[in-house]
Amino acid sequence: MAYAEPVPHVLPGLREEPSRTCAVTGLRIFATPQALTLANAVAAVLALAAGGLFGLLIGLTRAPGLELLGSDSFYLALTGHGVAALILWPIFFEVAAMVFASSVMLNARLFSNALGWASFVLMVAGAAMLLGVILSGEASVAFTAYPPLVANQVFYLGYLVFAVGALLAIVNFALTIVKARTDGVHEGSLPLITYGVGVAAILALLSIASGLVALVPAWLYSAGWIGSVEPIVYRGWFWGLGHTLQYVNVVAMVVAWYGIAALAVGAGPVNQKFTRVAFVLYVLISFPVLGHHFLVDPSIGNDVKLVGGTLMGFGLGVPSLMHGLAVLGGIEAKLRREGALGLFGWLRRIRWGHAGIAALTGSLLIFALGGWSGTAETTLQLNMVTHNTMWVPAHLHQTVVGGTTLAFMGFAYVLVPLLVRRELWSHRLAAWQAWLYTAGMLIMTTAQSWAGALGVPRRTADISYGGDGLSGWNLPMNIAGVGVALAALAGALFVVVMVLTLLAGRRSDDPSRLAPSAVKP
Amino acid sequence: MAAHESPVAAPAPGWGRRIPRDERVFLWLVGVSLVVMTAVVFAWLAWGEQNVPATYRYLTPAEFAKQVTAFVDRHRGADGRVYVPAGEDAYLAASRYAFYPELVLQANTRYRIWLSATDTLHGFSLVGGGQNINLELAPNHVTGLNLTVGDPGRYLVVCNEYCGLQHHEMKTFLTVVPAAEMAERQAAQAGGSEAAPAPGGAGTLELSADPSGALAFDTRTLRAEAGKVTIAMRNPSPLPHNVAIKGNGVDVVGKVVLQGGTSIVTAELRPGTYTFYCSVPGHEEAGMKGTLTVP
Repeated sequence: MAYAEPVPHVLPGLREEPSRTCAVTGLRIFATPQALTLANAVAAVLALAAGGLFGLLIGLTRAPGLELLGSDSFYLALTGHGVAALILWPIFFEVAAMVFASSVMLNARLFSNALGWASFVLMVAGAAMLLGVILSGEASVAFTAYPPLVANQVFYLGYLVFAVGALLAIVNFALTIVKARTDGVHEGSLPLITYGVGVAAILALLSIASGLVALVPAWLYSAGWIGSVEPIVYRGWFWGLGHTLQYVNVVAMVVAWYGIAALAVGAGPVNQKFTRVAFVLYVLISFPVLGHHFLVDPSIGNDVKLVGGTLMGFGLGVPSLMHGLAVLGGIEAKLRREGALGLFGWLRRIRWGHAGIAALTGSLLIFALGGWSGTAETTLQLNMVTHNTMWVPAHLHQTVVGGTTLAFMGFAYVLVPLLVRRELWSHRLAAWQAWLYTAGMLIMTTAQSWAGALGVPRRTADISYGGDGLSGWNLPMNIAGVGVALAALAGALFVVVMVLTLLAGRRSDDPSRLAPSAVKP
Repeated sequence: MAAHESPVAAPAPGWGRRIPRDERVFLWLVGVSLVVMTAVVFAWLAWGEQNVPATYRYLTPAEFAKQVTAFVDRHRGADGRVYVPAGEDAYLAASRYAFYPELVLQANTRYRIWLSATDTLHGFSLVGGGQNINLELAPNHVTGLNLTVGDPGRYLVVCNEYCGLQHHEMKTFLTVVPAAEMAERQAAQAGGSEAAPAPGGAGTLELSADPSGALAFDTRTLRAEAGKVTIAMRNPSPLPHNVAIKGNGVDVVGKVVLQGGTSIVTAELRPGTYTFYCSVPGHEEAGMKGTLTVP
């Protein structure tokens, strides 16, 4: 790809923004987008760590053999877990990706550095308000906060401040791409990763707008300025935020899949058009699919439930299946070109002890299970069996944690050594970490699905019901607790490997040591 | 890897041409699966055994409470449970942190159960007896659940929508009895209807539940002279409440009443300190209690 010298963005006489040129990729990186990407990424990881810690506490409380927390603390942790892991973490991560994909990948400056920092400050302020009021115990309403449950109004204001910050980041992202093209810094089709991040940005825009429609009335209600909020309507707008946002995660996960396949195996998507059509399908289907939240709600007809819930839900599986084929097919095609024979000969050429491949395999497998469990629960009649049982957290952890978080871990294993020019502190430990995380999440989510099929309610501090709880409930919930503990251990190992890599990884400029191939010689 | 396959580089010119054959075959397979799955969902609506309820009514919590109260008054048994004869509709109100009333149904009979929440969102999750039926309940919306109950037994129902800090205490039972036992109960009930003690009089203390639905009475302290003491608690709130007295060996519980009802409790009290409270699960823990002092 020809390297275009960027046109200066500043008027003559004004100070030029400092920049560097990456020795590996030849991309020009300006100082502010680099700092802003890093700041958002750090905030994202902190939010994930908080979410993970709350998750561990919840998981160990829900194991009847342990019951770590009392019920008040449990509902506090439950609210914190939802806010940190399902709202703060994906949006901070998406903003980091947007800054990177719009400026660094296009050799461009940001449209506005001030707008970028303003968005970051607002998001951090909103996140601090949310977590602060949750920890104070005045907002134990679960992250969904269905009215007429009511939290301290700082909770809603935190959401709103955070959302406004994120909206500014999306505006800056779009205008940066427009400016890169009008300035002639970037020409032609966008690279697949920028394209994917752009799709995620559109979904983020839809979801945050929907969230504002839900949360502004909820805030007015909590402040006592309006008398009531219709909870069914609120649920619709809220899940326009909550569920669409998870497709921001999914798109980012797919981008990470392509990234791992490219860096570990040298494989690309088999067909760019096929891949981009799949991305567009996410844009079309991800928002209206919120209808599946109404499948067993009152006063909504089967016509709405079938079209907005069941059929959209079925359709949403299509783009994910397409990406799964494109990633796996790309790897298979690459290895066949290099001489792999027979139906599964290409699988024997892969080094399964490669950290990136371990994470990619676990992510593809668990996400596929999540697609299956989600398709089941989006089916009108089956939703009556699964609604608000443990089946639902099983589904969302299969997709958001087993799928997305594991893919990000794998992407970090292949990308971070290139960024910091240090080898992984221990590639073997990294691979074990990915397999252990896969095992923990498989055990946890399988046991949760089992519990859900037996009717164990989600979001419930104690399922003994004063001795009236069902006897079959305890075994799967205890097994799920074991899975939680394993996954938490693996999550901590990930942090250990990354921190030691940053501090003590061996410095190297040898691409074969920084990014070891996952293909056997 | 060819440069145009890279996810970080711009795609090769002409990338928008026709999708290759392997991918097209894959898309056809996915499309056929979608059609089959959709057909099964529609066919199940027509011929399947269990489908999502499609009968709903719009009633405010006060209107719904009136219907529930009338239903309870018609079929209430001496044990406080409601015995629903075959052919009658049943009513079940969900509110923090109880279902009201507790229903007794006749075996192998089809009922329509009208379900609604009176304060916030709740779940109806029938998990006992190998069942797993889950519905969302919301204030102002009433769901008509058609339920054919099977063999006699006592089947657990829990709330599975987070509704507040005592959410995990919210449960009830659907008790299923043979037809003979149901007939016996109906006959016994026809004999003597429970006469409510008349409120008022010298020793009667007036009390009210919080009208907004908060879990509190309008006062946290009451005083009474020693002797026969009656507390009459008006319930203007959208939740079921009652009044009860405990302490010093006394333990009496008034009838649970819905919006517009009055719960009455009477006890012979010696000098001392007692607790008056609402015995609906979770309400006392949430602060719906006070101190009754008898000097």
